[in-house]
Amino acid sequence: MIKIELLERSYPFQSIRWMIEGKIMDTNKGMKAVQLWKDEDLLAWHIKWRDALAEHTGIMTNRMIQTITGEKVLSTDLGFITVHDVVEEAFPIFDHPKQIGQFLGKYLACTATEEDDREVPIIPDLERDFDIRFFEDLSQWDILQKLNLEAKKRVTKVRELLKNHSQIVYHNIVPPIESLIQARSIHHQLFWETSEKKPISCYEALRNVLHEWHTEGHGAKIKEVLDGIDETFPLSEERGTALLANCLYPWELRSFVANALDNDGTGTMEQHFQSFAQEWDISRQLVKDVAGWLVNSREGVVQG
Amino acid sequence: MKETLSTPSIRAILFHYDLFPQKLEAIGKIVKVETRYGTFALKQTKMTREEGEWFIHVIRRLDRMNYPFVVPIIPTKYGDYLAMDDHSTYYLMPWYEDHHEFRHPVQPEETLIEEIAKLHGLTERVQDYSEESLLESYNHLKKRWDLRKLEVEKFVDRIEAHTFYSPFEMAFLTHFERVSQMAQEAERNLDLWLEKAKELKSYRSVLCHGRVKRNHALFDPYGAAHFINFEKAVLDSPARDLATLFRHFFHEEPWNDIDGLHWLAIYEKQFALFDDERHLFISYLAFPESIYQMMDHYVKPNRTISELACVKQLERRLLTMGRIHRLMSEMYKKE
Repeated sequence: MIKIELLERSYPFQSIRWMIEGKIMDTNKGMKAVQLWKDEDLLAWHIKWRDALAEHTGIMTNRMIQTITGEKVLSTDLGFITVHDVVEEAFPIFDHPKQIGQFLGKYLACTATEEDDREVPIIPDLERDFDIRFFEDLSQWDILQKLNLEAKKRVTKVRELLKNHSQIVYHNIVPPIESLIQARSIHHQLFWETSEKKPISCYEALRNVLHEWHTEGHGAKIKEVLDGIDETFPLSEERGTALLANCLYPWELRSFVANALDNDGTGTMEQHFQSFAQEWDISRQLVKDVAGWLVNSREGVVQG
Repeated sequence: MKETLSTPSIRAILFHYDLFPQKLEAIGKIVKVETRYGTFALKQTKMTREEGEWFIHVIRRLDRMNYPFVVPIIPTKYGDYLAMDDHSTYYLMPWYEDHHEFRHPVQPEETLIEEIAKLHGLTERVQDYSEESLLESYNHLKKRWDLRKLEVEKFVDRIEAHTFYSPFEMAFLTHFERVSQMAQEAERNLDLWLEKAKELKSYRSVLCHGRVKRNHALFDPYGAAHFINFEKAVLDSPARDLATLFRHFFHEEPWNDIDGLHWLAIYEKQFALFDDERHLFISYLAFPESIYQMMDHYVKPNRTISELACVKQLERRLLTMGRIHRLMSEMYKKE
């Protein structure tokens, strides 16, 4: 267990008390989050990446607060401890789609080290089949079979899209964007709460954001988000194709299969299927939006 | 609250320092920030990334040298010396009151000269001799001066064609010959600087503050000055800072050649100039840029001051030029 005395000794804070034991503390300088890291390499990457994000975008993010002696990490028997700001107020992202797009573009382009722009698959395990035999008893089995067939067609199209754009395999990795709730507000300025997870392909991160944008019922503003992204992370031929491939790939079926096999008891199979079906519809709409935006922007370039 | 900078953006910047202000007061480009942990000065700048990196380098160097006459920069909670938003770059300092009355007799000019000499002494470096870069500096300055002289000659040609001269034109024409002689004197000293530096086959650089003047130093009640605003700091000849400071003194207070020699003696007690540097210093002082600037001002279509005010300013600057000439003569006499 992380001891308050250790934190008080090491950081420039006083009157510390736990709000959530081991995770969130209240201090004389506001609420702070405590993060325990086991993977030193991942921690080192996150320190560099978050510093780079702040330096290159000017956006505030949950960087590592320094100890009294100027260290970003506290090394303990439990692991490596870092301390971060906690910002409670949500940023009204849906009111500022273009600004958010511009930020996302900078986020996707941000690199912690030169090796971050490396050869990683646009879609990991693209060739992997979805094993749906486990769901034979599901009342929607017929529909699932049809969707599986459709998913295979989508994978074939993804493969075709990527085949003609070999150079796009070189791309950036960024921390995953798990939710738009990560956008917080400090005196009306954006504060981005970066995830502590392992980095993923920037295109996968972007697809997830756009998908959530739709899920939250603001699909009509996707065009403005893409316009904003295009300003700071130009979605030229290769990047646009990589994004489209990511949107087209049936991530929802992949996660439905994975969740069902790893059932954590959070819902019935039917409920999982319902949410999968909703995500499927959103993906279809997203592909339509992204493809439409790409056609328009490319036509714009040709006509311009 | 008096504010020129937007309050939310200042509060967002102060978040980088975990400071929650109780009172904010904008004073020029500085915001005075009062908090329960003390009072601070937040400076807003337009430094580019490269300028910011150089500024940090300068601040770290001063810190490593333990140079005491500087207002320290407070790092953010993430360890950065600068905080940025979309529009500006900021840095934070503890709030230092600037005193104009002291507990014992103090001449602020003498203090500034002495402390800048100490800075030069601590940062002195003998540069690898390169005739190419020496000539480059010489040609750059010579070209600039030639261009200025040409502009003035054109102005003189133009006004000489007038049947009746305006008061400013009359004053300018009356003293033009003397002004031109000062420009020649500046060039002669610049040539001597080059000649001496070539003979020595070496030259020194120091950390120059770049914009040294009374307003860029905060005096404590005992008369010690602490410099601020190192944003334009540069590695250059000590003659650069010294000439800037002398020109500032000439502009601010009544002085004579004895004062000038006294200031130079205070400087040289801490950091003696070499022959080449002395010639460069004299050439910087002698070139009548301040007179030329009066011409620029006078011909401006949207001039804000009256003809009479222009004449008065010109006469004041001519008086200073005369004093500089006497100072130069005294310096030569000393040699």
